[in-house]
Amino acid sequence: MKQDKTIKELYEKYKKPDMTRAERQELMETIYRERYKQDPRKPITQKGQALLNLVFGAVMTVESVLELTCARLLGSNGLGILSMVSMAVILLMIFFEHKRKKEPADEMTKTFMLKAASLAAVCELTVMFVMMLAVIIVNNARGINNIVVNCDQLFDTASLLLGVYMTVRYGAYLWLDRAPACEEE
Amino acid sequence: MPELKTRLKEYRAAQNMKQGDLAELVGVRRETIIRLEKGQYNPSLKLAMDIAKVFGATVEEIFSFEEDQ
Repeated sequence: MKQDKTIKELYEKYKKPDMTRAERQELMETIYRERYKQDPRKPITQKGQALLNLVFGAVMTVESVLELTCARLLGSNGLGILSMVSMAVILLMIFFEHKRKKEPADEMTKTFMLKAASLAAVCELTVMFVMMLAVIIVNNARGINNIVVNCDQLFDTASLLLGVYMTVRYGAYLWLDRAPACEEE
Repeated sequence: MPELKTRLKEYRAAQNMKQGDLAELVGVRRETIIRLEKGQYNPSLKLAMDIAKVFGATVEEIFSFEEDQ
């Protein structure tokens, strides 16, 4: 078929040894766009992908915060239900994303993502600082000199930081890329 | 400070081309074309040249910097 021939030709061009790294990257993006055109699945836009990742990050953040702060209140049954619910949400999102083809990122998307990532890094550092401060203040108030950290808390802290990063990054991207899609033709 | 002004909309209308069609020709999203036409995004040199090539014009004819009054 003509379109398959186009991709084959592009791959043959990619294999040439005298290409620079920038040329290879550009060619890879062209190949990705060609494969995107041929893919029969319905597309999911960049905004849609960002929204899914935002929800993913938010679910991770909420779950981690609840597990770190309300573990005794929830009990083992409550924690189990919480984990199952968040896992179900995440699996549904992965299933939905797999059923669609992903719109390739263009230069404006990459620019906005970089800006969003730098904002997310600042928020991440702020959250880490606030967490450290809260642990020190609470332990000093209770007269506790030693802090005991178990692996569950380490995992939950890592999940919290990742969740915050994803939520802020993709939320910031959606805010930056807020031009209405229905404008003109 | 000089602002980027574009005549992208005029060239597109002259050729009766939709934003989505132009976006597909130059390999960007439709949102990028919308922002370019509104002057809310500065294109890379490659994108500006690709757009100029589509309309058979020069980059300077489509994109220009004008002093903000």
